[in-house]
Amino acid sequence: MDPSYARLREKGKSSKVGGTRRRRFSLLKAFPRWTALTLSILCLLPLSAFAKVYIDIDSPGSRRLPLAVLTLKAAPGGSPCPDRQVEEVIEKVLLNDLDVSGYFRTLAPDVFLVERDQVKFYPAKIDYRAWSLIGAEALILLRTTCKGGQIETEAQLLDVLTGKLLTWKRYKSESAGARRVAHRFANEVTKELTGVPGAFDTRIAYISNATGSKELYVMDYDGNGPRKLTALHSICLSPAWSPDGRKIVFTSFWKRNPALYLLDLRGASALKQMFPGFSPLCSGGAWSADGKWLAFSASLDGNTELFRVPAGDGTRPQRLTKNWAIDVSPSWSPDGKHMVFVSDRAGRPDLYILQPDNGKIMRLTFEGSYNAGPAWSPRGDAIAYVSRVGGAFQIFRIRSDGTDRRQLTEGAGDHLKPSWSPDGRLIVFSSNREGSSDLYLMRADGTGVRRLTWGPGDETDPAWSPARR
Amino acid sequence: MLSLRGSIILSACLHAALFLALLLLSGTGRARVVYKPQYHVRLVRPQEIAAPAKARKKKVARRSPRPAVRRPKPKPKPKKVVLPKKKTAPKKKKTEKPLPKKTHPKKAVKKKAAKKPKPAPPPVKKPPEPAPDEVLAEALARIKKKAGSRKKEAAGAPGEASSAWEKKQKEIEYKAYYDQVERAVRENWIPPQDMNFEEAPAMTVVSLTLLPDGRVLKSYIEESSGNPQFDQSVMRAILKSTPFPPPPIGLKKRYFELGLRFHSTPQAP
Repeated sequence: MDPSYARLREKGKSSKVGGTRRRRFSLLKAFPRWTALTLSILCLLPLSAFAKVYIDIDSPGSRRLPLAVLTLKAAPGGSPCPDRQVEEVIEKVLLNDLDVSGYFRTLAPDVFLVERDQVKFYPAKIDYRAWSLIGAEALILLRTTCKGGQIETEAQLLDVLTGKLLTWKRYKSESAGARRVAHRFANEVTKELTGVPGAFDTRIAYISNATGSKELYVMDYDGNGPRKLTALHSICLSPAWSPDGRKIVFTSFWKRNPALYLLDLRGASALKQMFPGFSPLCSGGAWSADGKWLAFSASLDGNTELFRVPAGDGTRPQRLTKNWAIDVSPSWSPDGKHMVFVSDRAGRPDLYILQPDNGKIMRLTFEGSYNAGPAWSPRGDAIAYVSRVGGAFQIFRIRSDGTDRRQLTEGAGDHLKPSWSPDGRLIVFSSNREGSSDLYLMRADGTGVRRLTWGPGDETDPAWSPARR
Repeated sequence: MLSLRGSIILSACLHAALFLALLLLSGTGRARVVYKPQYHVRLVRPQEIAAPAKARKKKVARRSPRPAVRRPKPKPKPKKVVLPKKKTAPKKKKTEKPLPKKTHPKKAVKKKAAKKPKPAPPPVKKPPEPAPDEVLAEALARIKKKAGSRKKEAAGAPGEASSAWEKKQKEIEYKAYYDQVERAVRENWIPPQDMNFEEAPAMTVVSLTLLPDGRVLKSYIEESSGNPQFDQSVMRAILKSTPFPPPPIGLKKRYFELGLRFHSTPQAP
């Protein structure tokens, strides 16, 4: 007999025998089958009903945020300013700051759909549609009230799309301080919209020969209000700010030999020569970001080397390099652990990175026939420097590991002495591209170049101040 | 015996419970389907092409004789001719319902119904004027014939292949929609500049619930980048993109869920 047939028969028999029982348990037997079926159906359900599709959206790259600035009339209680001059200055300065940053596109007032008199200063009473229709994503409302010689400025930054009040500031100042009010609010706006405050409330120290001799000057970062600080009738060079922004150290040939001089901006003490008698030849001071050290180059035995000195007592400079070559132009990394400087130890001027604590030295630049004037970005991510390209000096940037070397400036003329803004977003440099040497500003990627000085003399050696606290 | 059965049942129950638990958990965890914009080229077998092509040919073939039949319609009674057609439109549906595949013919019917008014009978002055009931009868016969031919066509088409084709078609439709959304949102997005994204890439995941007309019913940040400015820019992009292109969902669904993942730095493909 076929075994399978036998099995079949067996099965049939048993089913016949247990007929009654089978009926009793048929439901129970069927139960798991049904549950399995329903479960499998249910199991398929989430795939169809719950599966959510995720779309990947990559950043469209750098785009400027459209922003509208509107100055409202004075507050109901306060007296309006005699003329609109102060209001206009604040608005103009703010617009310029926002434009310099490169992050914002300010909308022209002639596209606004509402009159300035119709707009209330309260976020809840603003018709946001009127602003989103013209493409604005953010709205700045300004309101200035004059009280005697004092001005009180209120400023709001609003998110047009969500109707959220992002920041609301009130500034009180002399009417002469209107520009600073605008700079400070520009810092605030930048902070709200990019996460990092701007550095618009800063100054630039520089050297100018407008009076016939090279003297030290200081002006606002946007070129406003230049002020002469020295009258040495000599040659001043290479100013550098202390991290608290109160002192400037610079090199001068005032007493025939180049020496470092310290100028206290509060005017309490007169000009002071640093470590007199230490070396006949000192130059190029640079403060570390924490203010603990001042680095400079000096020559003791006819060869220029790097030194550093504790900023508190400038008595015993500590030697950092020992080499037959010339080592100059130190610039600290923001963490104070490294220093970039120029040396011709490989036969031509190149950048090197030194660790002052252990004396380790690493060569940074290999390209270009003449590399000099390094400035370490306050963000730490890049070093700006000058390199010769076909007979003219251009400004480059490079990472501290030697990668990502990029040329930032181009065109005729020399571009020299780059100096970073304290937020690391802008670079000021001097250039003679338009004949006489003047100061120019650009963004850290080389875009947005604008001229800062328009005087008759030569302006050189810019040094950007630290952020004001 | 009983205890054995009992244990079997118990085990079945336990399994079922486990299954259910798993099911619920998977429901909350939400299966993630990641969609990346890409271009698709559909490779098809000749039979697959043949099936839709046949359908197309037949449609064309049917369309051409129609005006010929209509032309002799009486000029003074165009309304009467049009009316029965409208009435019969639902009839057609009825006749087709028992067909093996449901959605496809329905769509076809819809399209046809929409198209019908288009080739409206141009007022032709031709003498033979049949009686109104004759016209009606003729129209009915024509429709019946049409329905019959469609039945044949549907039966003749290889069911499996056509449903797969349909599925593909749907997939393509959805992908096109995702592309559309991706483009629209990207266009409106102004990510904050000057953040160190190269070293610390940011990603924000936004969950959207769209209504059939593309309006946003609900939107929330499912996964924050931890960077408030970046998240804000993302929400601004969503607000600017509203209303979204209407999702390709049928009439049955009331809303459509979608996730958007905003990347500060381009993703490796």
